Amino acid sequence: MTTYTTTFNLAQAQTGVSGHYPVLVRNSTYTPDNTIYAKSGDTVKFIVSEPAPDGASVSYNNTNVADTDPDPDEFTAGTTNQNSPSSWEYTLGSSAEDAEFYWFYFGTTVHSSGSGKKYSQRVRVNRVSGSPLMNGATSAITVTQGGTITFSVSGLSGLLPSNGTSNCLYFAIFNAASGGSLINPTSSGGGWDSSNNQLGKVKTTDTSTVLSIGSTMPTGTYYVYLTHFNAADTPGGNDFYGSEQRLSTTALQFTVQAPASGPSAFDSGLGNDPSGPVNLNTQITSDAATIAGISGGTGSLTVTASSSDGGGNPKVSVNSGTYATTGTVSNGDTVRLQFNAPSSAGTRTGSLTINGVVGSITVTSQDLSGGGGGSSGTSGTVNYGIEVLGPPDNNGNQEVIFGPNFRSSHHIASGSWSVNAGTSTGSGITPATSQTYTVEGMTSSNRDTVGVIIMPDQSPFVGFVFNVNYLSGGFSITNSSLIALSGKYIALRY
Amino acid sequence: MAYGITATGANNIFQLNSTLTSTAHFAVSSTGTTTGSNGQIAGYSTGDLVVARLTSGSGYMQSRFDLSPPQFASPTTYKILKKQTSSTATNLNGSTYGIQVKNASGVVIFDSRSFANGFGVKTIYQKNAFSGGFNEAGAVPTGNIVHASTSSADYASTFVSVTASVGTLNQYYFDSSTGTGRVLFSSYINGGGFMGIGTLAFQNISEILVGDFI
Repeated sequence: MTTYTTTFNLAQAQTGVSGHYPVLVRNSTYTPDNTIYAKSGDTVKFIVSEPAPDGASVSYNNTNVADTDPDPDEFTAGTTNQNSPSSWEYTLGSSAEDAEFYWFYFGTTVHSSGSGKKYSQRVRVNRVSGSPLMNGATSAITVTQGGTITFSVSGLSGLLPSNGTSNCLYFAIFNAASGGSLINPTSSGGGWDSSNNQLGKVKTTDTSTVLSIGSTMPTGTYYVYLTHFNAADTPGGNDFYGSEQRLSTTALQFTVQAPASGPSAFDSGLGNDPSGPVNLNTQITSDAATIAGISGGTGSLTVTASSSDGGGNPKVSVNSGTYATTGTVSNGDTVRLQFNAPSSAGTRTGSLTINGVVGSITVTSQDLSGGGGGSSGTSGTVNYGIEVLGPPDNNGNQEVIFGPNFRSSHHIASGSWSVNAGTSTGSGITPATSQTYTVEGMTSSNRDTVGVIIMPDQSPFVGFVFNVNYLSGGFSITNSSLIALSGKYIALRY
Repeated sequence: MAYGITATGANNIFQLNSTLTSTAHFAVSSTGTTTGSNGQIAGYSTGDLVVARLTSGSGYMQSRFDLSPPQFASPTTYKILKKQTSSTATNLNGSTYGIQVKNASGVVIFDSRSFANGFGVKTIYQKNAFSGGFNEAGAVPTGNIVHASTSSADYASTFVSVTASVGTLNQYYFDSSTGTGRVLFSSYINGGGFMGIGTLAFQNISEILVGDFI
């Protein structure tokens, strides 16, 4: 608890006329609206004199013009008189009437007009209180160089409205809980958003302020106190952050640490790029790369998935967990990249970035179908169709086993085929054409959606002597050999 | 369409159409692995579509669908897709919920309960898309890359259709040692020294499906 002592001479202000009892202001910049701030438990003490050459006694005026309660301890009743220099003090409690009070004084010298007194003054005391918070709490935190901390005050009371500079509370950083040196965050590349000096400021209209931790702020533990301005003569020390002005005895504590370094290169762990072009919109899933080489900081870093063109829905899975755009990794964790190849011919690089270290997979999309067997593939996001999920696995996850982005296969027809032997012409063979086998939906040119798998009954040698003719509504087989051929077939739609 | 249900997916992929008379969903009905050499496929019927992959690592995957039951020369993982009909409807994926679609004849062409896994077609190759050749050792990839995996995970989930595989024709070589893995087409006849024929390459005699098993 602190005793704030203020010594002053009464102002020359005739009582009984306008302007009498002017408020004593000790600092017109920082406390222009009152005399001093104090806290519950503090003692305020005013040593009041009538100035020379008069130097008469001083009376405390328990005026009925304004509520002066609580009165100073020296007050007895009515008007209490003391010789100059007079001393008046009171220890603030927590009662409501102690929140703010005015004390009125006048000198006993009569004004030259014969009316009223020559000297008068009043003091205004405001009891200020509030609880400092750090990121909304009081527990110690760790922050990385380059990070930020939000300091705020809750339960603020007693602070008068600010004009920007006046009537503020101050957050001050020290390198020790007791004593220590004031730390100026601006000298290490950081600072407060509420000032450009070493102190963070809060006021009635903005009860929080953000501290940016500079990239060169030395690592270690720091202690932060919330203080009010001291306009009294004593105690001495710094009027802004002196220890007597602290609103709480316990410091907020934060520890600055260097950012984590690493990880080691992990690109190779994701596996090689596809050795050739892939189907349009193919979903690329990398190998699982194990993360190592992270040191310092919290030991964990953010991993972010991205792609070279912003497309392909890149995601990362950490330790085989759910795929997301970002995650957090530590040494020993695995990361797996997933993204879609371009939906049209082209190249896309999917990447995982951890603290600037990049692992990537580059893939080129193109139509891989042979001949007319095109692959229309699946691409894009659709919000229609029918989707069937498989049974949940042990983690409750379900895979789409039938859906609008899932190219399933369908049976159209199956059975046996046969074709007569061709006829020798002496110089060659005239093929024999078998009957047509009906395949619903088949045309001469839709191999990308309808096809047929042919199985010959005979020796595999016959594979090169027959030809499949795709027709509208079915197919036929041409036999260029001199033996009859037969087999099985399965017609598919996909 | 006056009645029924039709569903079309992204890029006009076919999902369902109850107005068709004979098209029915090919549902994954069973999965299995063979061990050792010449392991037999269980549960296969003519008309089923079989997709398979080498169970692990690299190697030649020879399928023998000219035999009954069909066989795999080396350890292989296979899936059997059966035409969705009333008789193949099961309760693999739920029993009291889902969707069942019938065509105009009352034949079930889709039943969400009957399959617990999906085979997603990634690529279809037409007959004669690959030049063939002796690729048992993973060589001669030119013109014979059926699938270039995008990752080891992709490699491990890639299956190819094997129903048209006989003898040394329409076979595959799974190569995990190149890039992130790939699947090569292998189709040849070894004429030995007879009349200086040597090894003859054969193109794929039938469509090839490449897909992911989910």
